Amino acid sequence: MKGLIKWSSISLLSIFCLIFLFPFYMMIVMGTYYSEDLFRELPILPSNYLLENLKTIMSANFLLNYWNSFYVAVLFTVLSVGVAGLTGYAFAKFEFKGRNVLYGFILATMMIPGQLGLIAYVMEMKWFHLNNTHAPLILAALNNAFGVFFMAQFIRSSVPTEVIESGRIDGCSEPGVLIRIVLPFMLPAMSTLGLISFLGSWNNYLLPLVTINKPELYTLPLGIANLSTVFRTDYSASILGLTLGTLPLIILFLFGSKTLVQGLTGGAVKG
Amino acid sequence: MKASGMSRKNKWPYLFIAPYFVSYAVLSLFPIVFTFYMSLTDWDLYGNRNFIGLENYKQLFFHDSYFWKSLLNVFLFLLGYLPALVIVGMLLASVIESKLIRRKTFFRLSVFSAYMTTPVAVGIIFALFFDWQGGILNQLFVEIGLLTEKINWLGSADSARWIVITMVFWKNLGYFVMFYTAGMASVDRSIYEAAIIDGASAKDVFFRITMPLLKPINLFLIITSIISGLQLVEEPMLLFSGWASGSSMVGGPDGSTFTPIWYMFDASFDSSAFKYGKGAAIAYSTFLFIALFSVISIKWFNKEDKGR
Repeated sequence: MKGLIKWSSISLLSIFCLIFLFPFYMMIVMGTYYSEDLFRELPILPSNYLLENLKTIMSANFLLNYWNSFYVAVLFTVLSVGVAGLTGYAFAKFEFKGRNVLYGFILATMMIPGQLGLIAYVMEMKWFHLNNTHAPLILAALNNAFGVFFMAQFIRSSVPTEVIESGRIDGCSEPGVLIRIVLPFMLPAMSTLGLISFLGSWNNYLLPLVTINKPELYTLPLGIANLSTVFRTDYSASILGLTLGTLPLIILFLFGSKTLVQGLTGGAVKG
Repeated sequence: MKASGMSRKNKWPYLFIAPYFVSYAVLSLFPIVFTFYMSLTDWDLYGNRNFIGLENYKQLFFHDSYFWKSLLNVFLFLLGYLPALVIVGMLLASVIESKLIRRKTFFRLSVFSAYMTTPVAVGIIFALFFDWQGGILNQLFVEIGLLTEKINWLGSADSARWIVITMVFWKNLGYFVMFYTAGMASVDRSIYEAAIIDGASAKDVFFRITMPLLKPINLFLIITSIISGLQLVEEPMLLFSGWASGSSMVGGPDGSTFTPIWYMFDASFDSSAFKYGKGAAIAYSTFLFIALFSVISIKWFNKEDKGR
C-alpha cells in the first residue's frame, strides 16, 4: 500500500514536471532547426541546423549584448546586495533616533508599484545625460525596499547580538565588526538576495527598452527581440540566443537552489 | 528586540543607512512625486508643458473605454491564475517536500525553470506554440485528428485571454512552490510526526497543519501577486509582438489582453504619441486601484484570522 502511494505520487509529479518542462524543452530543440522548417514539421526532435544558427547570432551583436547583460547584472547585484545589507544591518542591530519611523517608511514603500515613477525616472536620466548608457539599469538596484526588509529580518533572527558586542569589547571598529564578524553570518541571505537580483536584472526588458536605443548597448533580451528584425525573421536563431541566455541562470540556480531555500527560510518567511 | 546598548549619539547607524535614503530620495521619491506633477500637465515630447489640472484623469475615467477595459483584463487574469497558483503551488510543494520524494532539487528546479526564463523567450515560445498556420498545437491536433481545421487561438479574445493566464501560471508556479517549500522546511518535523502517530490522514495533515502554518506566506504571496498582477505587461506585450504569422498588435485581439501598464508604455513611449502627461495619469490611476485592492485583501485576511 505504502509503495503504491509512493510510486503513484512520484509518477504524477514526474508527469507534471514533464508538462512543465515541455515549453522549455521546445526552446532548446527549436534552436537547432532551420527557421522555415519550424512551421513545416513538428519540432520535437533536434535537427541539424544548430551551427548555422550559431553563426547567425554571432554575426549580430550577440556576444556584445551578452557581455552587456552580464556586467550590468553583476554591478546591479553587488550594488543591490551591498546597500540592502548595510541598511538592513543598521535597522536590525542598532538603536537610534528615528529608527522605527524610517523602517516603517521602508516597509510602506514596498507597497508602491515599481512602475509608478518610471516616466519621470526616464526623464531624470535624460537630464543627467545618462540615457543611452547602462547607468539607468544599474542605478535601479538602489531602489530595493524588499531587499532591506529581507536582510533586516534575516540579521535579526540569525546574527547573535553577543558576538557583535564581544567584537566591540575587543576593540574592533564598527566597519570592522560588520566585515569581520557580521558578514559571515549574512552570507546565506546575501546569496539568496543576490540570486534574485541577478535574475531580475538579467531578464529586465522594459527598462532597457525605454532608456537605450543603440544596438551596441542592448542587453540580451532587447538584442534578441531585435535580432529577428535585423536580418529576416529568423526565429530559430533568436530562440537559440534565448537558450544560451538562460544557461547561466540554470547553472546559477542549480548550485544555488539549496542556499536559496535556506535564505528564504531564515529571512522573510520565518518573520 | 534586544537593544545593543549603543549610545544614541552614535553616528554609525546613520552612516550605514545614508546611501539607501539618499539614493531613494533622488532615484525613487523624486520620480514618483514628479510623475504626479506630470500627470496634471499635457507634457509631451514636442514641448507642451501646460498645467491642465485633472483633465487627464477626467479623460481616463469618463471618456476612455480602453483604460477600463485594460483594468478589467488584469482583474480577469488575476481571477484566472491566482487561486490556481495558491492551490496547485501548495499541493505540489507538499508532495515535493514529503518523505516520498528523493530528488527534491531536480523537481524544485524543473518547476522553477519557467520563472528563470526571460519574458522575451516566454513570449516567442507561446506565440509559436499557439500560432494559427504553423503553430505546434494546431499541427499536433490536426495530425491526431482532434481538429479538422486549424484554430486561430491568438486571434480570438477569449482564447487569447486564456493563453495569457496560462503564461502567467506557468511562469509563476515555481516562484510560489519555492516559497511554500521554504515555509515547509522551516516547520518542525515533529509536528507532522506527532499528527501521524495520532492517526491523522494525509488530508487532515494538509488542511489542519500545513495550510494554517503557511498563512503568513500566503498573505505575502497574495498581496505581492495583486500588486504585480495589476502591473502585468511583459507577457501579453511580448506575446503580441508580431512573431510568426501574427502581426504585432497593441492590446491583442479586440484589446482583450491590453493592460493598464501596457497602456502607459504605449501612451508615453510608443507609437507617435509620446504623451508623458497621459502616461503619468495612467500610472497614478492604476496605483489607486492597486492600493485599494491591497488594503481590501489585507483586511480580508485579518478578518479571517479573527474568525478562527
